[in-house]
Amino acid sequence: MLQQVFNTLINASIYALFAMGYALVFGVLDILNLAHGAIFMLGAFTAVQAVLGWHWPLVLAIPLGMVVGGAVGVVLDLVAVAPLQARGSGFLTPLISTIAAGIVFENISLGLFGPDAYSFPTSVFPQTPITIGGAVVQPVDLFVIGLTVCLMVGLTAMLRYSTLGKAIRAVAANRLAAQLLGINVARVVAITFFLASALGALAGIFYGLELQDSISFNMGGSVQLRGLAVIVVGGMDSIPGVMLGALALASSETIGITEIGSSYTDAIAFGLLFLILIVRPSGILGRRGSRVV
Amino acid sequence: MIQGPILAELRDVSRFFGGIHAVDGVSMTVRAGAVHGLIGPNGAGKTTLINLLTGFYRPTSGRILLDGQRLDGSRPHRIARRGVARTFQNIRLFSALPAIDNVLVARRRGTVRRSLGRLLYFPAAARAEQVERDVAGQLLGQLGMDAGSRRPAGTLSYGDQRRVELARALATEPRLLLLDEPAAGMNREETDRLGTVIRELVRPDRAILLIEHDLPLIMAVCDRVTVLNFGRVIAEGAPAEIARDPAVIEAYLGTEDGDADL
Amino acid sequence: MGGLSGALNTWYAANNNLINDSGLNAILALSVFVMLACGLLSLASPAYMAIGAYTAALLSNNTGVPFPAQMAVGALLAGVVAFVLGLPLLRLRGVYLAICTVGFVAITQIFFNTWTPGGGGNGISISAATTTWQIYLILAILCFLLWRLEGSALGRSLAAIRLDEEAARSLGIDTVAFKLGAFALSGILAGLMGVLYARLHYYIDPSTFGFDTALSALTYVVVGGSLTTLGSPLGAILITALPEWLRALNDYRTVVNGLILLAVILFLPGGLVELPSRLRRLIGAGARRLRRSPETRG
Repeated sequence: MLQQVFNTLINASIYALFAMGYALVFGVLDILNLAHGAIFMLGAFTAVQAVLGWHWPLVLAIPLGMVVGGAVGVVLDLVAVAPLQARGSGFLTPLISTIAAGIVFENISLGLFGPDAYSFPTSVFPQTPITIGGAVVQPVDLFVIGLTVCLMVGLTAMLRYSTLGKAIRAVAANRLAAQLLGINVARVVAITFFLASALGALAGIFYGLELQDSISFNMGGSVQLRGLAVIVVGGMDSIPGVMLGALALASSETIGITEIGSSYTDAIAFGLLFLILIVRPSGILGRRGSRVV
Repeated sequence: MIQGPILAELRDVSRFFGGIHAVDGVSMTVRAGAVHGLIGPNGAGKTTLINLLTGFYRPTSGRILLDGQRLDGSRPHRIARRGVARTFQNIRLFSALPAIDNVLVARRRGTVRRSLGRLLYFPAAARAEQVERDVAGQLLGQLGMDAGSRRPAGTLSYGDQRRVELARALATEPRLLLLDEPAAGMNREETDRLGTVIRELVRPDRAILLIEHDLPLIMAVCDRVTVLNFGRVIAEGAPAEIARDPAVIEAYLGTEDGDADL
Repeated sequence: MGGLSGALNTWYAANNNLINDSGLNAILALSVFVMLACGLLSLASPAYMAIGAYTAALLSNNTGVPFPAQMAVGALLAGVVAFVLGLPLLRLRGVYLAICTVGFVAITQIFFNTWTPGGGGNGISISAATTTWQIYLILAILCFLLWRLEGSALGRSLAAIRLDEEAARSLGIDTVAFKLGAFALSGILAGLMGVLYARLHYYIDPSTFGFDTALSALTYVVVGGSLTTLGSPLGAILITALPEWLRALNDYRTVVNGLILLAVILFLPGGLVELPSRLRRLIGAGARRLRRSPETRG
C-alpha cells in the first residue's frame, strides 16, 4: 500500500513539474504551449547525452538539461509566439504555431538521435534500496520527489515575494495594466517561458531516470496529454491546482492499474478530464476570469 | 412629442455581482414612438441595464417585460428575435467582413431556405437573397455608407464603423433599439448629425433607449430621461426637469458648486 | 493523343497511392475546416473517421450492404457521435474544447484497441474496394456544396460566429445550434472519409486513428487556407504530395510539414490560398512606391 503511495508520488512529481510549464505560460499568455512535450524530450536527451556521450556527472547534466530546455523555450517564444502576440491573433494561431514548433523539435531529435530509446546508465545513482514502512524505494525516487517538492515551494515563494514573481503575476492578471506600470512585458514573458521550459525539461530528465529505455524522440507524446489532463483537472492558472491535479491523475492511474489493468491508464486520464470539464469547466481550483499564477 | 403604449418595462430589477449592486431595484418603462435617454455617471449601471435587456445577464431579481411578455430568462438570440437590437459601446463589427455582409448577417428571414436553395442554384433563393441584399444596401445608403464597398469593415473610419453597426442593428427590424454611447468619440458637429439621425429613426411601433454621456445630445433628442446612480434610479422625467433636478446635479458634480452645463 | 494518355496512365500507375491518399486527406481536412469555420478547434476527426472505417469494415465483411449505403451509415453514425460529443463540449472555452477533443480521440483509440469485433489491436481487413474516381467525385461534390454554403446566408452566419460570437448572438443567431450543426457536419465528413479509407486500404487498425492524424489534418487546413473551403483540399494535396516532389527530403517529411506549418502561420495566416492576392498586393505596393517621386517618398 505504502509502495503504491510512493509510486503515485513519483508520477505526480513528474506530472506536476511538466504541467507547471503549461500553467505558467497559460497564465501570462492565455496560450497552451503544445511544444512543451518536445521540450520535455529535449531536456531528457540533453542530460542523457551529457552523461553518456560526454561523461558528465549527473549533478551537472541535470542543470544543463534544464538550461537547454529553458533556452529552447525562449527561442520558441521569440520565433513562434511573440510575433503572433504582437499581431493580436487570438488563441488558435499561436496554438497551431506551437504545435508546428513541437513537430520540428521532435524531428530534429529524430534526425540527431534516431528512433532508438535511451536510458541513463544505472551508475548515475546509487542503487541501494531503502525501506520505509513497508515500501521499498530507490534513492533516485526520493531525489525526484524531494527536488520536486523543493521546486514547488521555491516557485510559490518566488511568485509571491520576489520582484520577478510579482511582475509575472501582474502580466498574468492584466497584460495592458502591467505594461502601463512600466513592466517590460515581452521580457517577463520570455523569462516565464524559460522557467516553464526548464521545469518541463527537468520533468523529462526525471522521467528518463525513473523509466528504463524511455528517452526517445516521441517521449513527449503521452506525457503531453497527461499534462493537459492535469491542468484541466486542477485549473489552468493556479499552482496548488496543478499539484492537486497531478496527485489526482497519478492516484487514479495507480488505482486504475491495480483495478483495471495498465492499458486503460490513458482512458482514465481522459475520463477524469472529461468529467471535470463538464462539471466544472474551470478546473477544480481554477478561477474563471481572474488569473493569479 | 407624442408617446405611445408601453413597449418595455423593468419591474424592480436588480443585478448583483457578488457584493456589487450593479443594478439595484430599477423600475422603468420605455414607450413606443419615443426616444428614452438613460444617463448617469460612470459605473452607474447603464451598460449592465442594457445587458439585462438583451439577455446577456439574468436579473438577480425582478422582471423585464417586452410587449407585456416576460423577457428575462430568455436566451440572448431569442430576445434578439423578439425585436431587441443593440449597438455596442466599443464597436463590435465583424471586422473582416465588408459592411454589406455585416448588415446582411442581421437579416435572418428565411436564411435556411435561401442557403439550401443556393446550393442548387434555385432562382427563388437567389431572388430572396437579392431582396435582403437590397434592404441591407438601402439601410447603409440611408446612413451615408457605400453599400458596394468590399473593404473589410475593420478598415473603415471610426465614424463609418458606427454607422455600419447602426445599420446592422436596424436590419433586424427592432422594436426596441438600444444605443450604447453612440456619440462616443464624436465632435459637436458629428454628434448633432447623429441626433438628427436618431430622431429620424423614431416610429410609432419602435422605442429607442439611448445611453449617453453627451448631455446636449440627450436634451435635444430625448422625450424622456431616466437617471441612474449606483444602480438606482435617482430621477426620471422630461429632459428639462432632469436638468434642474438637484439630485441629478449632485450625482454628476458632487455637492460643490460648478458649471452644470446641462 | 495516344502518347499523352499513355503518359497519364503511367503517371497514375506510379502515383496511385499518393493520388488516392491526397483525395482522402482532402476530405478529412474539410472535416476540420467546418469546425474552424465557426471558430472551434476540434481535433476529434480521427475518431469520427474510425467510426466510419469500422462501420465499412463490418458491413463489407459481414453483410451485402452496398457501397453507397455503407457511406450513408458510416457518415450518419459518425455525425450522431459528433453531435452528442458537441453537446457538453460547447460550454467549454476554445482551448478546453480542443483538449477534450484530443481526449476523445484517445478514448476512441483505446476503445477500438479492445473491441474484438473490430479485431482489437490487430485491426481488421476489408473485402471491398474503392476507386480513385469515387474518391475524387465525392470530394468534388463535397467541395462544391461547401463552397456554395460558404457564400450563403448560413455561411455568413458561421463567419459571424467565428469573428464575434456575442455580437452574432445579439443579432438573433442561435450560436449553439450552428455549432452543433458544425460538429455534426464535421462528423459526417470524417465518417465518410473513414468509409472510403477502409475500402481503399483493405485494412485498418486503431493506430491510424490517433492524435498524429488529427495534427496532419489540421496542417492541411491551416497551410491551404483556413478561411475558405478550397484551402483544405489545396493544403491536403500539396502536403500529401510533397514528399514525392522532394524525394530527397523524404526522411525529413514531418520536419518539412512542421516548418511549412510554422512558416504559413507566421507569414501567411490566411494560408496558401491567399498567396495570389498577397503577391498581387505586394507587387502593387512595390509599383506604387516606385512611381512616387523622390521628394514624397516616405
